[in-house]
Amino acid sequence: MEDPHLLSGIQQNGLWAALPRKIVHIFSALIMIIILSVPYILFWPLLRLGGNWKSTTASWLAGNRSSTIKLARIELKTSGALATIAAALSLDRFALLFRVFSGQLSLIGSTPVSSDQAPENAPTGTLAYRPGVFSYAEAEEWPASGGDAAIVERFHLAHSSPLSDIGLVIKAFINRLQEKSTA
Amino acid sequence: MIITETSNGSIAIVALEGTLDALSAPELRNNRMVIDPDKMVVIDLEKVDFIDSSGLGALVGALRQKHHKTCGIILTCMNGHVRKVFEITNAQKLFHIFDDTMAAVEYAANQQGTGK
Repeated sequence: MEDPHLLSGIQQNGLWAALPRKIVHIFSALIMIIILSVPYILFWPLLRLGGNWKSTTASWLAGNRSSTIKLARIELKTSGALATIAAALSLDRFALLFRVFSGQLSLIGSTPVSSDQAPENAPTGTLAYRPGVFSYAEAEEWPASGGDAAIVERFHLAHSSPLSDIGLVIKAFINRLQEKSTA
Repeated sequence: MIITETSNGSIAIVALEGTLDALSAPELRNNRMVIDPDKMVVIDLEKVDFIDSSGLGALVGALRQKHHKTCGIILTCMNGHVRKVFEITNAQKLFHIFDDTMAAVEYAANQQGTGK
């Protein structure tokens, strides 16, 4: 089988592939914002008043690894029905969707790595890390964090196309939905 | 995917043929040699022409199940494409990888003998 993974095209097409991917991610993020804005506006004040929504800001490695981005990490206590629904709808990621427009985050990519730690087990290379609102590991039956998750994330960073990213976002969203609703 | 099982002493040799993807990965994941935590398994990938993230997941998951955390699963005879996937993802660091099945079996037998 001749180059079944199309690896030979990765380097040559890297720059050209970035633009369509960005457009697809921005368009998909826009759709998600439109869909999730109503539950977010309804749930967020109630959860915050009830003490189930806590936000802390931390620095994370940007995609180019030479700079950092500040992102809010939401701790959502899934103690009540409202919080469980909010977690299932990934409302804790809602604010991050706006970072897709600025290009700081992909809609789906690597799990953001804290700025004070190097990516786990990471090889050198530009394909190894692209922080995302959702991670590729969340779309697969893999551990969602740690070194094993980094393996599947790097696989998809090298092999996914803009269109397959949409499918993987849906899978990640559904996985989180099922995980939270059965938790 | 075709899975062929043989053994050399107490070491199991599992030869895979075809595509290791989301469809075939469960077959490997449920293989009796692979799921046995005490069994050291040499997996021959010579005839695997494609591996995706699910296939990688099946191999990593199999390794995680083994009592021998570093050499419960040993991989051999990767072709260039499969090796490239392991290099890109850095999964190669998790496994002992040999070019020759008999060398892998010998290594596994030594590791078993020393109890590592």
